[in-house]
Amino acid sequence: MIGLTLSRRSFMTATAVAGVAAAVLPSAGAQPALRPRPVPKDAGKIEKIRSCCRACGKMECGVWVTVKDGRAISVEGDESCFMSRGNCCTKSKSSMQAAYHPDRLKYPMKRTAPKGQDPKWVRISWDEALKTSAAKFMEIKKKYGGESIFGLCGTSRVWSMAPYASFKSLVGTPNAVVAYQICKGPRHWGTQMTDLYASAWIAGYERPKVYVQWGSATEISNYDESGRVTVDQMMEAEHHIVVNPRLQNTGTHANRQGLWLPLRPGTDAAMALAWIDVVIKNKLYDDAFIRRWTNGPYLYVEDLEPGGFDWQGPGRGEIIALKTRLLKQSDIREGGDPKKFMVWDELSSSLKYFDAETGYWEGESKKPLPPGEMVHGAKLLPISPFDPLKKPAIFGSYEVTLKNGKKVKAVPVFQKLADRAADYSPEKSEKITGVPAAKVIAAAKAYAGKPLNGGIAYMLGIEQSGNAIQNVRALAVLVGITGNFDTPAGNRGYTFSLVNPLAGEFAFGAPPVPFKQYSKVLGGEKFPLLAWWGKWSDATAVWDAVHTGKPYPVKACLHESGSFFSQSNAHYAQKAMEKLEFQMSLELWHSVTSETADILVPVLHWLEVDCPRVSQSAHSGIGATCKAIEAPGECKHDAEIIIQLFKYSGVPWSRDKNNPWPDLEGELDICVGGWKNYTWKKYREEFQKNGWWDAKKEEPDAWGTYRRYENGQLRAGPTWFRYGDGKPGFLTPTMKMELWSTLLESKHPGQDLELPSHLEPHDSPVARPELYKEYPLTAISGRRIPVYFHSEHRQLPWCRELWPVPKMEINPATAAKIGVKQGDWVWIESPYGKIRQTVDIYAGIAPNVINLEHAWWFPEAKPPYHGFYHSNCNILVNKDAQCVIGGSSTLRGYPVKVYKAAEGAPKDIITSANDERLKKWLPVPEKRG
Amino acid sequence: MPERQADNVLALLDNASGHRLVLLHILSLCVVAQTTPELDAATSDYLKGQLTVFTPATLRQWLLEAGGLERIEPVEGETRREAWRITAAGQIALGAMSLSRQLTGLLDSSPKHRQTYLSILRFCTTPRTREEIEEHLEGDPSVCPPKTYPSTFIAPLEEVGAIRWADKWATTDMGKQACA
Repeated sequence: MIGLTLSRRSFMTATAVAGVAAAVLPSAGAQPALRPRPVPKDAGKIEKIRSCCRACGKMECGVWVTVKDGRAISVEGDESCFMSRGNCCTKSKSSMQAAYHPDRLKYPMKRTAPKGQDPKWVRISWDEALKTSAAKFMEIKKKYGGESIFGLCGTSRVWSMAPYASFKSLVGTPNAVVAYQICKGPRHWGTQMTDLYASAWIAGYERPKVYVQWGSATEISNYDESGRVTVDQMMEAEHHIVVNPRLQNTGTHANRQGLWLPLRPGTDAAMALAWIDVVIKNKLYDDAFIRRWTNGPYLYVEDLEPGGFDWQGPGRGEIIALKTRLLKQSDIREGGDPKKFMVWDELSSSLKYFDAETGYWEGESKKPLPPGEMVHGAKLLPISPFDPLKKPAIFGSYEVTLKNGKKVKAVPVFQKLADRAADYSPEKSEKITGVPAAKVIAAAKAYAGKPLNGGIAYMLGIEQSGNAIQNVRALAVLVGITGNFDTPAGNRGYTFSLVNPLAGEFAFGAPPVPFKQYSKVLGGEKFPLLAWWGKWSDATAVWDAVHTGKPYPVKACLHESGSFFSQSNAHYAQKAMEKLEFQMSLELWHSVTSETADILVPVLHWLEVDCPRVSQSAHSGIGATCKAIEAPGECKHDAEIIIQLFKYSGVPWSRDKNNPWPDLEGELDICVGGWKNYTWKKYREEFQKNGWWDAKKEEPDAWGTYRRYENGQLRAGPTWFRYGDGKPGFLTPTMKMELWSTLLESKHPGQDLELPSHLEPHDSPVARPELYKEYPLTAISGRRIPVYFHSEHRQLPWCRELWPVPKMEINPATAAKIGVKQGDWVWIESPYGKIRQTVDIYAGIAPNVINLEHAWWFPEAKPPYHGFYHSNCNILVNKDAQCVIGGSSTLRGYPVKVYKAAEGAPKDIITSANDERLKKWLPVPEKRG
Repeated sequence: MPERQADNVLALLDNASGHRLVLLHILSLCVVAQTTPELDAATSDYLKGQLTVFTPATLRQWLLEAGGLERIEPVEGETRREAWRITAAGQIALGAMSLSRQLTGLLDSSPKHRQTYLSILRFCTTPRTREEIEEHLEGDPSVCPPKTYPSTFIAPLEEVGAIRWADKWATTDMGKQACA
C-alpha cells in the first residue's frame, strides 16, 4: 500500500467505529479529526479535490480526495457537506483499493467462448464494441420488436442509470430489470400514490424529536442519515423507536427505552395499522390537516357505479381511466363534474365539494400566503383555514341522494380507515406481529404524542416481504395523519433542485417510448399499474419470458451496474441471462453478471468521474463528484458510452440538432445548464471553491418551504424534472393525500387494496404451514455490512480481510438444537435451492428466524460463476412470491432448514484474512495502462 | 462413449442461444470433410445478414472442444490441408436436433396455434418485416395480448429453421415444404 496515508490500522479503527455505532457519542458538527490535514511543504505536487463519494448507494457524503503526483492517496470527509457533516465511512476510505485494483477492466472486450463457460475475453477496439452492440440491438429490435430487449441496472452510481430511461428510448422498450423494483421503487411508488413521489425520505439532520427507524439501519451503510449522523439523531431524540425483527446496532439503544419492536417478518402493515388505531382512538391525529388536505372527508358509497376521469399524473406509461366509488358531483347531478369530490359539511349539514381540477374547495380561490415561521432554515407555513368556513366530516355516515333519486349511505374515508385500523388494534395485531400490545401502544403514543415530532425513517426492510406497496402506504398514511408530512424532520421527499444529477439517464432528443409500448410491459398482466408507472418491468416476468418465449421472446440486454441476482430467484435469473442472444455490459469488474455478456466495456471508478450530485433524500445538498485522477487504460464515463451507443445507432441524444451527440462535457453542461445558466466548468469551479449548496436557500419556494401543498410547489414532480402546475395540493388524482387510493381502486378492483392493508406474506408459517414441517425456520436477509455495499467490494483487501465469509445469524438456542457452533459452515436449504454460509450465533434474533447475508459472490473463484452458487441467498427465493401491486420479491421471510455442512467451506474461496490471494489484490497505481 | 460426448455437443447447442442454427449448419456441412477455408467461407455465407460477435473460426472451435467436430491435421510435405469432419458424437447430436422434426413437433404441439404458424410461413414466402407480419396476424385468435403477441410465434419458427432473417423474415425451403 505504497503511498497511501491511511494505514490498515486506522482503516480498521474506522470500521469499528461504523460497526459499533451505538457506542459513539453525539457531535455538534464536523469532526475535527476528519477535517483536511495540513499538507507538508516537501510533499511534492499535492492537490485536494472536493468531491462526493460513491462507495455505496445513496448517501451524498462530501469528501476531500488528496492526490499526490497524480495518485489518490486518501479520502476524508468534507466539512462543507452539511448532510454527512465531515464524516465518511470505511467503504469510502477503501476507494483507492478499488480504483487501483489490478483486476479493474481496462479495455473493451468480446467473449469467444459459449455461455456457461469462462468467456475467454479478447480485447477489441471501442469502435468494434460500439458498432457491434448498436447494430445488434437494432437488428433484434427489427426482428422481434423493441420490447424483446431490456436494460439491467442497480440503484447505485447515478451516472450509470441508462436502463431506467435513455436505453428504453434507444430501443423502444418498456422493459427494465432494475433493483428499484425491490429497493426504493416501492417507496417511491407507494408514496406517489399516497402523497408525494419518494416522500419516504426524512431529513434526519433536522433532528426528529422522536426518531423512528422502521426497517432501516442507516447507522451501518448508505441512505440518508448514514453512519454518524444516524447515531447523533438517535442520541438526541426524546424517544428512539426501532421496528425490526432483528436487534440491529441502534436497536440496543431503543431497547433500553423499551422501544424495540421485534415484529414477525413481513407484518409491517399490521403493525402500522395498529399504530394508526392508537392514534385515532387517542385523538392524536392532526385534525386540521386531515380535513383539509387528505381525502379522509371524501365520501365512499358502496352502492355506486365506479366512475371518474382519465388521469396520468407522473406516470410515464399509459393513462389511467379512474374508476372510483368516492362520491362526485357527477354522481348526484346530471351534468355534474366528475372532478368535484363531495364531502359532508358538519356546519351546514349539507354536501360541499372539493374541485380536483382547480385544487380549491367550494367557494375558495387563490389567496396570499402568510409569511410562516422559519425552522431549520426553511419556512414552515401554517395549515390554511377553510374560507368560507366549513367542516368536512371525517367520521360517521350520511344519507345522500344520487342523481337517479336513489338514497344511499355515504361514509367518509377517514371513518373507513378508522374501521380498518380497529381490525388491527394492538391487541389484535399482537397475534399477527408477535409484539405485545402494550409495547405497540407505548411506541405509537411516543411517536404521535406531540405535533411535529418528525417523520418515520422507513426503508427497504419493508419492501421485500411480499406486501411492499401496502407497507409503504400504511406508513405514509401514519405519517400523514399525525401531521408529519413535509414538516421539519418530517417525510418530505427528494431534495428539489434544477440540477440534473443523472448524467446519461435522459436522452431528450430521442423519441420517447410510445404509450402503446407500455401496454406490453412484462408483468403488466399480473401487476396492472406497471404500465402506468412505466419505471420497471417485473423481473420474474422478464426471466419467465426469456425461458418460455411468452408472452413474447426476450433476446437481449444492456447491463449497466447492478446484478441479475438482486431479486426473484437468482438461479433462475442466472440461467435466463445465459440464454440471451446478446448482451452488452458496462462494468468495472469481471462480475457474475458481466460474465454472461457478449461485449464488455470498462467504465470509470468514482474517483475518475465528473458528475453533478443532488441529495437523493430530503437532505438539501447540491454538489458534485469531481474527477480526481486519470482513468486506467481505455475506461470511459458511462454517460459517454451511452451517448456513443446512440450515435452508432443513429438516434439523437440531445435536442440540439447541431450537436445531437454531445461529448461528456456537453452532457454535463446539459445537466447543470438548467440552473443559473451554469456550464459544468463553472459549476465545478464554484463547488471546489465554496462547497455544497443548500437547496433550501437556492429554492426557497420549491424546497425551502414546509407544507408545500399550501404554496403550490408539491405538484412540481421529482427534482429537476419540473412539470408542476402551481396548484395547491398533491399530485394524486384527488389532489389530496390519498388515504384511499383511487389508483389501486381503479386498477385492482375487488382486491380490498384501497386502504392500507396487511397481507400475510406469501410463504410465511401462517400462509403455508405445510412448508414449515420440512423447513422450520424463517429466513430474512439484507442487513447492512460495514465494509460492503450489496455485491460490491469483496475484492478489496481491506474490506475482505475484515469480513472474509458470509455469516448467518442464528439464535443460540436454535444453534444448540441443530448442533452447530460459531464459525461452522452450514447448509441453508429452501424448496428452491441450497447455499452455504457460516454460523454467527446472535441472541438478537428470534429462535425461529435466521438472518442471511445477501449478494455474496467470490471474485477469486473461477469464471463464469465466481462462486455465486456457494452462498448467494437469493438462490433460496421463491420467484413467484411477490407484492401483489408492484411485484417486489419476498427476499425476507421464507422457509428454510439449516444443517451442518460436513464438507465445510467451499474449496475455492478466501476464508481468512491470511489468504495469500488477498495480496494479489493490493493496489497497483503504477500499472494503469 | 460417443453418446456421452454427444451430451457435451447438445449442451453446447443448448447454451449457444442465437447460434444454435449456425452450429448445426457447421455440423451438417462437416458430414463431408471441409477444409478450413471452405468451412469458414460457408459459415460466413450462412451468417450473411445476421450479426454475431463470433467468427467462423470461433464457432468451429466450440464444436471441436465439445467433441462434435474433429480436426484433420495437414500432413507435412503432402498436399493435404487442414480440414474438419463431424465426429460420431456430432452425428448423434445432429440427428437428435433434426430441424425438420422440430418443426413438425412445433406445428403439432398445439392445434390451436398450428394455423398461426402456417399462416406466417405462407406469408413470408415473400420476405416480410416484423411490422408486416404483425399486421397480417391482426384478428388471428391465437394472438391475444397481453398473453401472446405475434413475435411469440415468430421466434419459435426461427429457432427450428423454418424462417430466416435477412433484413426481413423469409420462409426457408424447409418451411415452404411444411406449408405446401
